[in-house]
Amino acid sequence: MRPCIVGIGGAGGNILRQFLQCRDAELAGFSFGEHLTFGEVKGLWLESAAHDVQDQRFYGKLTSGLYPGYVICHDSINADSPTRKYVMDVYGFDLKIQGYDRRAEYLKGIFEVFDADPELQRIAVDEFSGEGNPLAGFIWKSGIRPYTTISEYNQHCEARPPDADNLLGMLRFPNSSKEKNGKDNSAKGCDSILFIASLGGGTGTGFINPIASYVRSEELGFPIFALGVLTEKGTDSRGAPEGQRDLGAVIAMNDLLTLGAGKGIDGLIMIDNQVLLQKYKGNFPAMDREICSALRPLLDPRDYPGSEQQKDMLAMRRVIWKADRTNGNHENGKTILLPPLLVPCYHFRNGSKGSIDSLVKEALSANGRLFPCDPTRADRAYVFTRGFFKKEDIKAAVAGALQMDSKEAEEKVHVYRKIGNGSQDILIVLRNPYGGTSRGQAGDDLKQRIYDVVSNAIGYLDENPTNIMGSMGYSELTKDRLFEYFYGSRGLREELVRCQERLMKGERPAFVRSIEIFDEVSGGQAGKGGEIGRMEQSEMEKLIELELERLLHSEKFRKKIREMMA
Amino acid sequence: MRHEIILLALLLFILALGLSLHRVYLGRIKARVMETAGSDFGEEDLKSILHMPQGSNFNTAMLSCWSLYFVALVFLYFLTPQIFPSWNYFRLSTVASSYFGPIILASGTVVITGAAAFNIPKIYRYYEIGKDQKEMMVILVPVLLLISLACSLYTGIIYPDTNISFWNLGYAALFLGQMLLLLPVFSGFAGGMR
Repeated sequence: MRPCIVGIGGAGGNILRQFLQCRDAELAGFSFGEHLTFGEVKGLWLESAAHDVQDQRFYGKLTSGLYPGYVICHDSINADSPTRKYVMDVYGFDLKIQGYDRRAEYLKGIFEVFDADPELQRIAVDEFSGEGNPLAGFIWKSGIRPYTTISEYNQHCEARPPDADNLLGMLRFPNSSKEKNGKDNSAKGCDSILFIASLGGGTGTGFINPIASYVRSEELGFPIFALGVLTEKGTDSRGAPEGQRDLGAVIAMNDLLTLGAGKGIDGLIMIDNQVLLQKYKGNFPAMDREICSALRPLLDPRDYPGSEQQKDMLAMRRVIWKADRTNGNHENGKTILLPPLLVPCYHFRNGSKGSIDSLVKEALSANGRLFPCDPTRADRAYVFTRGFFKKEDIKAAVAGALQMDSKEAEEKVHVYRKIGNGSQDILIVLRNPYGGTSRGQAGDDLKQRIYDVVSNAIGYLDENPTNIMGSMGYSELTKDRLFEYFYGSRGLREELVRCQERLMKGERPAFVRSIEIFDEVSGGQAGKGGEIGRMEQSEMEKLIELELERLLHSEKFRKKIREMMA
Repeated sequence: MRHEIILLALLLFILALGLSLHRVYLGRIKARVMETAGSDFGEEDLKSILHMPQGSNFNTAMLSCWSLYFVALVFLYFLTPQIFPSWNYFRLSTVASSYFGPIILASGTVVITGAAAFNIPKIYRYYEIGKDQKEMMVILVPVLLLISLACSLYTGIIYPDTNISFWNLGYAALFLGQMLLLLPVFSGFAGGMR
């Protein structure tokens, strides 16, 4: 795998920095070739506000030709943009830094309106040369796509040898391979995208799904994964209460895990910051390094001879989506594949002579799991090793640890071997390890961890309607939509309660229904003479039901009824 | 035998040892991969898989360092007639009497040893070399080799007088430089023993 890693927000940027550490000798700012990283990955940092990028020197402004680079999402929007004015007037959202609110629902809403509002799309298309979603479009076309194999330029350059290993690099003029945009287009393109963000923070939590979904809408078959770092328990260092962060986390998780195949990501890798916090006693750089180290077996390009095909990311994507009876969600008799939840388990040891059994055991132990779970609950395991091991030995060791028989292991344990160089490590990615011991026992399972997060989110919703609804100059339309989104009969709160029930029953997956704040019909110009497309009878009935419910909750309507009754 | 020739033999022995250990290291990896691969493969395929890019900065620096190493070696042993009376710089009277004599000697050495200087650094692509180690090599090796060169030039300038301390200092710097150049091979081999 050679991903373009997109770190979103503060946590995403810090973790991305570990992946983009230059492995070449640095000669006082001078360079003969490309920025060399482990596995030749590329990356960029997405942030939502310029002041967040000021207190660091690692990233430069990508659009100024610096690499590694950052992109401020709204840089493409001018202060006097008609698009910005429209969004502010109609929705009360500000697309620029002033008044920018990084709560998950705010950022979610900002992206949704571009899809939901035909009038806004028209304005954006006029202003941004045909781009109907300027925020996401800018990020994708100027930031991410040029690094991938999709980019025409990279396809053109594929045949050229990489600068990083070119001994003749000294005969070229320094930096001749870098274009003015700072991207080293002589290097190989990335074969996948990995978004990294915290779940429960600010920018990352809010942006990760909208951007991933936009990229998917542009590229149906390109492998896209997300790595979410679930916020820790208690109040964080910025003073944000746990309930608020957990609400952001469940919004992001629900959005990421409920878009079916071909609409969103291909898998969500979950890491629990609480686990890392306990292991490293709050040493955040060490926690970031642990995440980077854990993915090294996945990124190492040195495949075993005869296994070169294993780096085919499209094939790996198919394997990850492979349906079992349990990972397709049945809705109205139809099976809908949803992205799997992937839990990484990792262990490293020095020396090259240890047994595979002990390596597997350590990885799947409480110390090796990066998210609480019961490994035997996984429906599949993807195993990446570095070291000299036989494939059948690896499979047998993992099958034994996951209590699978050999026939099951043949189908459900997938092994990807890389060559070691004096040390051994293993990454076991468990798919959908939902379930665990019953509620109330010491938390060592995924079910309880997610249940607690969902409970906190519901509690925060119940206790803080004013904080959620009344902030930051939302328009009445937005407030109504937000109310529906959070508190409506088919809103988030209701869905979270059902999620808890599914968790308790051991059903999988736990998140099954995608919920939007501004869906196509009721967003934007609804009630202002906007177009309503043709709909089926059942959808019309649902709409009427929703609209009635909204009206019944609306103070204005109640006042009218009272007047009429009087 | 002069002790300088014994020391030269030591240098060449360590160089040969390093290159031999590299072959043993590759052979060991090949054996372990064959034991566990489950399919046949060619040696060239394996070598191609084992390649690890080290970075253009490091590659460029190492190519330069190996060229500088051979120049330092030639200057230490062949600048004056003291060690090899029949084979030394002063036998080339036209070059030796030129203002640019040492530069011509150095350039000639670079050309003659060019193939070796170009090919020896290719061994680094089979080892995992940490960034700290790379930066240490890139900084220290040229410094040590330049110290050796400076000492050799000094002994050349004061010839026919001699100063054994400067020669020894020059040798020590060259020896340390060579050890640093071969450090990835030694540490990679030692790592594989665990």
